[in-house]
Amino acid sequence: MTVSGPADGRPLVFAHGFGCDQNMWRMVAPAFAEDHRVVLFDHVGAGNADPSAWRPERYSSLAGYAADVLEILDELDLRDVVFVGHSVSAMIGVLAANSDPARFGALVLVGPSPRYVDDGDYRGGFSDVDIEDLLDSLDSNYLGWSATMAPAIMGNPDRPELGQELTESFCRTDPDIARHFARVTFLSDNRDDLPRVSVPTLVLQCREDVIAARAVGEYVHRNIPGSELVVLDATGHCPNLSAPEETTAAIRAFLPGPGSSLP
Amino acid sequence: MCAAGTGLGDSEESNEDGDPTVRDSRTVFSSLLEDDTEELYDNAPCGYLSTLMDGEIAKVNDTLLGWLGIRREELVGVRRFADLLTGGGKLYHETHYAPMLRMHGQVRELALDLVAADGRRLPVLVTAKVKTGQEGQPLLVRITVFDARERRAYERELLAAKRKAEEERARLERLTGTLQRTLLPDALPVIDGVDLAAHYHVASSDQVGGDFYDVFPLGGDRWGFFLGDVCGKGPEAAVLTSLTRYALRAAAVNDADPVAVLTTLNTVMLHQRRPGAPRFCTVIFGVLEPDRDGLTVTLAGGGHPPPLVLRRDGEVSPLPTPGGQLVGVLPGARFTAATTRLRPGDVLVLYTDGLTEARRADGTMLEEEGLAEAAVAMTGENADGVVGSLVRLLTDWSRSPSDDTAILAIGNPVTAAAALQEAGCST
Amino acid sequence: MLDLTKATDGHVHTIALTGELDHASTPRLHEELARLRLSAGDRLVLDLAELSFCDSSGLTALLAAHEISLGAGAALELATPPALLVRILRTTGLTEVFTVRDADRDRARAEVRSRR
Repeated sequence: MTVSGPADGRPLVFAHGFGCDQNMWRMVAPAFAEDHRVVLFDHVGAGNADPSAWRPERYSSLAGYAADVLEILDELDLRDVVFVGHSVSAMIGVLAANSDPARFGALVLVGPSPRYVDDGDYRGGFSDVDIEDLLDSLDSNYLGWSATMAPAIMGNPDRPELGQELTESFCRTDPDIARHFARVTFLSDNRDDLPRVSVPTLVLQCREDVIAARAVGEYVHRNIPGSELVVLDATGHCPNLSAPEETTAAIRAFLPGPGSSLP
Repeated sequence: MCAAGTGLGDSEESNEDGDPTVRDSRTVFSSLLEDDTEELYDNAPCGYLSTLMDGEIAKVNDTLLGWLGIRREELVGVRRFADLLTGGGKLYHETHYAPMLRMHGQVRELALDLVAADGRRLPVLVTAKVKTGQEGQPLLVRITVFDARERRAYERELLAAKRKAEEERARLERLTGTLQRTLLPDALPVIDGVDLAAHYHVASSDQVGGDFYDVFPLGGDRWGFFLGDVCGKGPEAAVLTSLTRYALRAAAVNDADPVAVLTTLNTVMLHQRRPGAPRFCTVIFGVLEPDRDGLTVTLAGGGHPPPLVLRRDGEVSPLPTPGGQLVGVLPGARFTAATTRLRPGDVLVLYTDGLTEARRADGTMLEEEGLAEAAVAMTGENADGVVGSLVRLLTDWSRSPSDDTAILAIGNPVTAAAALQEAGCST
Repeated sequence: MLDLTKATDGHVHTIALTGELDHASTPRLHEELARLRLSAGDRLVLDLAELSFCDSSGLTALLAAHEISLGAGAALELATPPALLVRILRTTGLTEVFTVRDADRDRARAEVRSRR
């Protein structure tokens, strides 16, 4: 967990999505540290989080990840929290805010999708086969991960560049946990949780996004009462990386400026 | 697939020179000269493409078009790189590939499947690098695509073998766990006037540990207990532990006198011995007799570290059984008994050497003296509290204890009546 | 890690142990003991001055040495055992089973060195 910014600043908690770690926010979060208390953390199994904390029962649904978020807010005793969740963390934020709304001041959902798999008239954009395919991709690339990362971890004096790579590397995930997380992420259905959101919410949608299509973003916006939808000019699923300025500006515009009263 | 269309074999240049050898080498040479970069790019033995930062395909070589069975104008300026992937590949692309490319400026040897025009899947390895402008701003992405059918088939086999090995290991651990449980009591008995707690740690998950303990009824409000350590590890240790446990329990039914029980165990183990391969255990066996205002403990030691007595008033002292010898190798081994009385709030602690031999990173060992010293702060706690404090002490000393450890704490609980009596009230 | 150095001088057989005598290394001492040809009246000296660790498995090898010597009518001596081993021998009630010689330290080591 990384905390920066003034202790009396409004808490801004950034949560990363599946496949990466808190580094995902490194081009966005610093811009808020001037006037906010910025909290970055890694989900269990990602980045520097302790993989031994992972329990199959606890993390068999997104609720376990949401419980972790609430524990962090409790531990830091944060209130009026603005939770910025990317990808699957958008839904983790929705679950956390629904279970303890008093802690939350606002939600910013970046590329959210309440369900990735098509279901009747609902178009999530993917089929069950696609999800199995993703798990295969993870497995294939896990072998690659073992090959390039293992020597670095074990210390390989004749190839110092490996150690260097490891220290600079980001998006390190534990392969077994990633596999479970992928399943939980892409097979979850949080459509019914959207109407229960009671805090001000911003939906940040990319103009084109293969993972969370525009129609999905619009669905989220329609179903969260009073939410705001901003369509970014950015494309892809990671505007926090591909268009950090635009993403930062959109979050800024949503938050009350200095001097204005809280919503 | 990869070797086709390299340009070298395709050359059909003719030469007027009569000598076939000379003609051939000249043909090769001239075709090499004509193998300009454009030609090399298009017919390279791997797929090439370049995309804009958003993935839109800007350039693609003939090799890749051939693999995909797609015409150039169907791709360039029309589709993105991710469009060439399977559904799952798209997910992987967006969650791993694209972020990695943005942060690192490159990705290496990612295993992905491309989908050809006819729906066939092409397993490939993708390496991509961002080309940056003079100020380091990203301009475009260059991607090489290698055919990886055989490698991926091999990797799948590797993965299957790895999964199988993991399953086997899990099975072994389950088996070991089951065996281990048969060597320890399911739960400590609940005894009026006696407060019990235990801790058991096995250093490795695939080997049965050599430590053991038990508490069991002897009839007539008397209880037997023991804690010990057999030499070695694994299946042999499990056999010896099992033998020791049942010999102790059976001997105690006949005559619960601790010295007599250890003597019987020694005899039984000597009968089982094999020449040249001594096997032994160190053990403490004792009898508990609770009464109205306390608990009498009589025990005998067979070559085992002496138990510690934690008095409620803060005093800590070992309860030695001097001269007691290890069990199982010496005919006529000597055992001596000791007795103590536990009053309310006193706790007797039996342990194996995994506790006292806990080593810090710098190599210093806790040892019996260190244990006795630390135990002073634990006096006044009940059996459960003492065991908890000892486990914390153990993990403080050694983050992942490399030795098996067993701890058994026997206390005389502070009852409400005893507390009242102490406060000067009569009951 | 365990290093074994053997020397035989007439009726005196010396094995010097350097390193750790544990579950992994004990079989090597067992093998070495099984290879010994002891006659009645021989002395078997285990030089333990450089022994840095000994666990219950290691103790089985010392007991095996005791048993083998006894069977051959030879005498076993443990020379200069480290404090750790002395404590184990005391706890397990074996100090009176083994002949422990501290004074032999220099001679035992000199014997070994002259044979290397």
